[in-house]
Amino acid sequence: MAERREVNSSSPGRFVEGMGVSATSGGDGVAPGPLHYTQTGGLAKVAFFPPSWYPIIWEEMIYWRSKFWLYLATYMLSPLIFLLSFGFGAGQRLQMLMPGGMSYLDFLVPGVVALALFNSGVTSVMVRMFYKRLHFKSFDAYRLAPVGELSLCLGYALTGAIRGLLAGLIVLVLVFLLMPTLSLNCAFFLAMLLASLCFGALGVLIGLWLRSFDDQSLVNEFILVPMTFLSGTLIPVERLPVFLQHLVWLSPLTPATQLLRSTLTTAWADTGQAVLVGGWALALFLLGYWRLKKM
Amino acid sequence: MKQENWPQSKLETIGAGPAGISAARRMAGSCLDWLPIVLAMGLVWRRRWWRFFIGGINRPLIFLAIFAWNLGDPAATATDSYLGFLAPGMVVMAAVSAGYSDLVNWFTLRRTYFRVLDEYLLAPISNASLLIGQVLGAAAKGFVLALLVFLAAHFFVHGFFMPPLFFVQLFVVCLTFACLAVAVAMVAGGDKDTLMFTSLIVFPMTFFCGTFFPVEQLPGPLASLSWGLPLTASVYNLRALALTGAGHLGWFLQSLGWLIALYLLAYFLLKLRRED
Repeated sequence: MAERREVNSSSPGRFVEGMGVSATSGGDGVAPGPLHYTQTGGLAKVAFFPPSWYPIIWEEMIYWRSKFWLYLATYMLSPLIFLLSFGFGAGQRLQMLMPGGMSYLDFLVPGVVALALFNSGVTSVMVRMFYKRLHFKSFDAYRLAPVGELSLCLGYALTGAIRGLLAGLIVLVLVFLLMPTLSLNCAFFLAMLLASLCFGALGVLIGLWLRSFDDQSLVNEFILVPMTFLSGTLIPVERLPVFLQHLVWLSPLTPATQLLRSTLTTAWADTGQAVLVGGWALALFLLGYWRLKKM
Repeated sequence: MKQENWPQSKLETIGAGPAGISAARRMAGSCLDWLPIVLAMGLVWRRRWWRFFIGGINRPLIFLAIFAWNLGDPAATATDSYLGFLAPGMVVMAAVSAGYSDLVNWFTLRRTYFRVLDEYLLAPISNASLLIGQVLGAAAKGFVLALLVFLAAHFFVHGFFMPPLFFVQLFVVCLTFACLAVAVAMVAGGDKDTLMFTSLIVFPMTFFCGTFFPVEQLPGPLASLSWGLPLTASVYNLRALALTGAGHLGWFLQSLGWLIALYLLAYFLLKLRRED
């Protein structure tokens, strides 16, 4: 509520009418007559400024502002733990060699970045949507608001992506503090962006699908936790047992990790993996959108 | 409702007859006041045991498997491989995560979601019985899951010793963290506080108290800080017991001391909370 009022006061006319547009059209590209904004077509409603998905992100920013230190600490902590306990503690003692002759620490860094993107991206959106839907029961307020399903999905996926990206950047800062010799390139950041979008969409999909608290712990413990640790993040896919080697390719985290790793070891990204991650992102987003429409 | 049923079910569990409750029986009854709480936890456990199982042991098992696959040495023996070093750490991790997290979740859910925590706190039994019931229930769960992880570790490495003291030490760890969970739940104002305490203190503790690598590898002040935490001595003692068969009395006493301290702390906080 608060953010909407603020939006209204900053740009009163345009925003309200913009919302009106998606209300009359239901947000799926059918242009109603009377409002002149609709004449530019369906895309204009989503890309309108401020776009109708923007308040969702705004809300997220307000959360962030009030809980900044807590978020910062929790985002720093678990990647730091993995880097220290796997990379510096055990990995260094053991001198484990990875396929391709890189050291375990070099192998671990992109893995931990992917892990941070995945964890905070998926979990934050999932938990937020799930609490809104089932605990506070305030998700219907979003549905009643004159915002289309597409904008709703997009807004949530973007909040997840932003969270993931922030967590990933925090990890990168930590990595630089621990090993200053690491060289990054532009492709790495693009890969991070693509992967975080994918995970945001996954978070939306799971958040819409959960039915109860039980479901949440079920999905978390049975699917997300094994997925996080086995999808090439802490261990190369080639070293898994054979049946798992095939199984982990069902998770979007595997191509994302490989993509991030390829941008660090070679100058340019692995195109096949990038296409795979992009495909996952699109598929997950469309599935989430379809699920929301059905609800 | 609950309060009326409570003494009745208690009598049933200790097998009291329908008429003529003798003084001796009443005394025996108040000694077993904690039993219904354990049984209640057991009922929940029976209904969804597989969920607790997976939730409690998936992380330690995955970490163990990751190192086993990464090292790729099928003939590893406990005494001279890293896996042997790691396994007791993972056992402790399972014990802590099951014993502590389950109990904290139990308290948080009952307080914020079902809103029935006060009913438990109002039960007509003494503080000590209430505390013992909760702690024993949670510790038993943690103990079972930790043993499962230990058994699973035999799958990756062999040659562990299993002296009786190993199990005693493991149960002490479970009890310690169950006490800690009660203490935290009594102090915390809301979900956010417990969540913060868990993710900022307890979660790092399970990684840095000698579970993955010797604490001597930590930078100076952190190493001594780590020895000041309740987990380190127990992990070291468990490892010594599992790898050599002989424990270290100092470490055992240290972890026992932590148990007593945290029990007293939890008792005191519970008493404060119930007097409110």
